[in-house]
Amino acid sequence: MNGADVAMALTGTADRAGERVLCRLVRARLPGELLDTWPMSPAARRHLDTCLTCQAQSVRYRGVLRALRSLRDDIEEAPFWLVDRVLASLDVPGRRSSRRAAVAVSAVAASVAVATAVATIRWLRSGSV
Amino acid sequence: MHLGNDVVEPRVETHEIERLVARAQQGDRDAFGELVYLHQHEVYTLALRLTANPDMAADVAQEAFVRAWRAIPGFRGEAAFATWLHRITVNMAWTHRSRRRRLQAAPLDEAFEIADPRDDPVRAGEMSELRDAVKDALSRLPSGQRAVVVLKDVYGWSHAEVGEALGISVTAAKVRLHRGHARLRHELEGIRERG
Repeated sequence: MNGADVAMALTGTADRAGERVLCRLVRARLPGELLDTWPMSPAARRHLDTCLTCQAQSVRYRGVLRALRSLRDDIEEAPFWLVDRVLASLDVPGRRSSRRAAVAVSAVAASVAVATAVATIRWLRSGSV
Repeated sequence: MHLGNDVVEPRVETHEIERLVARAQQGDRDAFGELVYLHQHEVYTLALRLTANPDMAADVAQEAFVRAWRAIPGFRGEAAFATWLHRITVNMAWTHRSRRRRLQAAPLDEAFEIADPRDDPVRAGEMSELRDAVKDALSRLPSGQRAVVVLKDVYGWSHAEVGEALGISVTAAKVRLHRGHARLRHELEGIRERG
């Protein structure tokens, strides 16, 4: 028996406050039940079977799930430029784009130039001492 | 722009897609261009559902197609081309999200403030209105929860597939789904009570 079941056993169905606690517990468990991820306990299901308010919540929630599923067919139009932009940025399959290669070559060249300059300065300084 | 359910994307037979894929695998840009043309709306829609941002969705869609072009020589056809493309799109959307999170001071998943629904006049009730309300509520979810809800509930992926695509465990996917649903319910109740 888990915490929710204990709460249900303790609160019972005698008074309105107890009913409200049960309703809250059951509504918290509706997603697990309807999504089939964490099914309700027998106690929660018994309450759902008898409580019209929770049944109404369940119906509404099923509507939300149906609306979510219906979004699968709700297609949005892509920007008109998308195809052209994709085609303009294609490179040879399996290779990096020539632009990326150019950037990489430039970076290596710049590093070599800086290293050469530093080495030259050090050499000149050491020669002048 | 919204195409809706009644506007049908170009329908092409499966074998025609396979033929285009085979040509694209040989480096045929025109064939790949046709594949992009045929799948652009579908990919953009998935990206939009995941990012809830039209500009970012366009970037994600573009990068997904470019990534697909680079990876297509290795496509073995074990899943349908569209399914493969969807996985790449989810991956790119996730990469974008990580980049954006790095740039933002507060991670999106931790920003759990409840959006004020008063600016939104949508009334839930009829299915189309409920769908609009759900779409709007989805866009307000933290990105991590939104991704799980979209992939699981809209696209029908399994928890395992969702977990694998997002790099999280099955249990984490279930937890996010529940949190996403709790928040969706909260958002929709706000709209309904106001209506």
